Amino acid sequence: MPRHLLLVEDEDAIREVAVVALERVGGWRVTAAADGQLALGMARTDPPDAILLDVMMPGLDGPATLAALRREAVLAGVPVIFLTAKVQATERERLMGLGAAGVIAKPFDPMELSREITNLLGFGP
Amino acid sequence: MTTAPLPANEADRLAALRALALLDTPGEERFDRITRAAAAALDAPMSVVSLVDDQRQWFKSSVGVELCETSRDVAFCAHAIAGDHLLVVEDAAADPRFADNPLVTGPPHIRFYAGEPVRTPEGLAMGTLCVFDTVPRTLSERQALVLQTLARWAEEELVAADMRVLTRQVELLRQRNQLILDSVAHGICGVDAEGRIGFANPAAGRITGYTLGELFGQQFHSLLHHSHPDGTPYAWADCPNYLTLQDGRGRSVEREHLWCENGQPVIIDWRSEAMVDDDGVIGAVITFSDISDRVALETMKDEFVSVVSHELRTPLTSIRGSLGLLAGGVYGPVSEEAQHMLSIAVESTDRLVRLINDILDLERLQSGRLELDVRTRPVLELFDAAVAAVGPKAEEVGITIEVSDTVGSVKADPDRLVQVLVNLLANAVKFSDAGSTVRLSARPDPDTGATLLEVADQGRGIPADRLAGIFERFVQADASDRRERGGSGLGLTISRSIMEAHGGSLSARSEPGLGSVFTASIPATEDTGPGSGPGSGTPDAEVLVVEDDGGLAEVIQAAIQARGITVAAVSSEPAAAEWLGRGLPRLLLLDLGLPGDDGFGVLDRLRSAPGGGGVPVLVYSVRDLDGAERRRLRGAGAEFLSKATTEVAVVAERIEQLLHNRTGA
Repeated sequence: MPRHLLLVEDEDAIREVAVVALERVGGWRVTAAADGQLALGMARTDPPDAILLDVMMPGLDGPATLAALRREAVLAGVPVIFLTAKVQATERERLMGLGAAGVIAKPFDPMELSREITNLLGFGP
Repeated sequence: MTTAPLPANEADRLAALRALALLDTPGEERFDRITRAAAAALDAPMSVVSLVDDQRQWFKSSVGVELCETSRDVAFCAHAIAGDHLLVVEDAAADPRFADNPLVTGPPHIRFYAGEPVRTPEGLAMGTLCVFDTVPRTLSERQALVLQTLARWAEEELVAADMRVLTRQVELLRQRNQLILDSVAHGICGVDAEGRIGFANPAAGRITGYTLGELFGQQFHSLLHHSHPDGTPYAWADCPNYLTLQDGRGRSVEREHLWCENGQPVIIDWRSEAMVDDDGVIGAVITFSDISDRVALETMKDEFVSVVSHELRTPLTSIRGSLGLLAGGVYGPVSEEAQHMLSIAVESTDRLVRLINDILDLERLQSGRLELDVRTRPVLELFDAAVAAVGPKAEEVGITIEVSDTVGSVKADPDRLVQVLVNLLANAVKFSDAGSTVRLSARPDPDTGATLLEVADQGRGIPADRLAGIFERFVQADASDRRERGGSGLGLTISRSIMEAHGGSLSARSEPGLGSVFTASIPATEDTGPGSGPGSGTPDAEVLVVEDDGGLAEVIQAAIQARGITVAAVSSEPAAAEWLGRGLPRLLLLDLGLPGDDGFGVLDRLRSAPGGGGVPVLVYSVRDLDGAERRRLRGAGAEFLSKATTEVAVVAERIEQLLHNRTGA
């Protein structure tokens, strides 16, 4: 059984591409949510092994979603990787400072996405 | 008739006459009462106060005379001013000088004349007070005295006339200055030697929200300039205005806050210029302009660039993603031609992303908003990183890269400096032919002590008329470049901005056909200038560990290096002394139990070296210290960590903390 990756990304096109990159190219079992609130619900019902979390989202943004996850006993230990279009070093430091396992920049190479995630997590699908 | 000779100082005399501004003015009672008094006292029918101009004499006041002026040729007064005393002509008809003068032979038929020169305080004769009669007469001594006395009175009135002119001029000047000060958009305040406002223009009031009355008498600094933008107090002794009042040197300051009447700050650029007289500094003029709008605009622009960069990346992510999946064969095999087309699309997308990154980078650099993470690093370490990035490409096209270093270490933002080196190396490789060599070197500037990093190639070179322009945005050195460009045209612009952000520079020289040399310069600092071991070949280190236990020293070094901090280790006091003789570390880690020395020797040696007082010291020792030793450590500003209770990892963490606190400043 492949490991479960929860993808949280509000842009439909990007979400679609990322799912293919992670499932078909990477081999993960992928569930996807279009916003932080939905993601929390899905994570409670079907806890993932790792979460790929977009930063800029309306409503609950990436960091807020992370904070909410940390408050749940079952989900607090799930590693989170941020996905962001802001590439400045200061932004990267800020996100890592929130306790993320890594930060991946947009645009990403869909053929490499899964490998990058595996490197950051220390485990693959 | 004889024409009177010209007085010796005629030019000065005429200038003074003009300055009086009395010629051709209406009659005034203050002169009329003098001529009346003269006529009455000397019992003469005619009396005049005359002013002798270059071509004429003109009467400011007259009694018994219809004329108001005559030509100078016939003027008795012209003769009077040529001498320096009372001129008396008892019978003009019998006097060869005046016998055929029209004023004698015709109206007013002068026979008797007595005229006393009327002078300015400087002694220049303006004209006369004179009396004349139609019959010959003599002048008694007493009458002469009266005439002379009245002439002195006329001189007082001249001075008064002068004063009025001056006052009028001063008033006009004052009005004009006031008009200028009122219409100037900059705030202008005059302060005294204690910084109290004695003058403020309307703009100063407008900008600060105080009325001019509220500003007068207040100390500029304590009313308007009392705190820094973050709210912390701004000491008067630290204020450049205070310094200007002390040493008389003008100072300009950018981007400080003035605090308005409503408690809100306004962002200003300001200048303080001292007012100095023979006794020294008597005050200063402070001019300031409100730059809040400009700052807001810059912030908006900065945010706009960030937002745009982010917004562009979102669709680019979809494009890059979908193209990547197609090209990767995820949707089935792709024909060779289709694969080629997809590659073009993917590469173009990547290029667009790099362009967006570069634009954002450049905007941040040029608006000064990029923060540099300055550290001291061995030059060879940075060179290795740059060559690693460019090496594969260089090998591919058959170009050799040679590296040399005579500087040792450099103080800069390592990532940014490597970015510059990669840019220069990549360009060099791009414009070189197979078989040629690109040389990357570091050497000190013999004159300034600055560190020069140079990339020299043997490529086609850059024509002189294009050399300056290559640092401009979107300019490629050669428009007909055969090889894959892929660049944004911003590489050199960004590299130059990075060097300038370090206080240095980036320049190029080139010989078409022979090659080019790009020189990146970083100014010398105490850490890396001459005197810190140029040419010694020993890389500088941020931390010096003095520890005689070799195994422990290795463990400590590894722990520190793991945090990206350079470290050197010595095992004895003499070795430490030698090291300190060549330069200073940014932090000292010291074991007190050194052979032959109690370790305090090293501490003293550090503290007595120039600049050594500020270096943080951690004492990591196994033996316990007695009270006296602890006091001595505290006095030398050293922190104590016990080997018995503190792990190496914790020590390394404390070291990183201390170093970061230093750079953060």
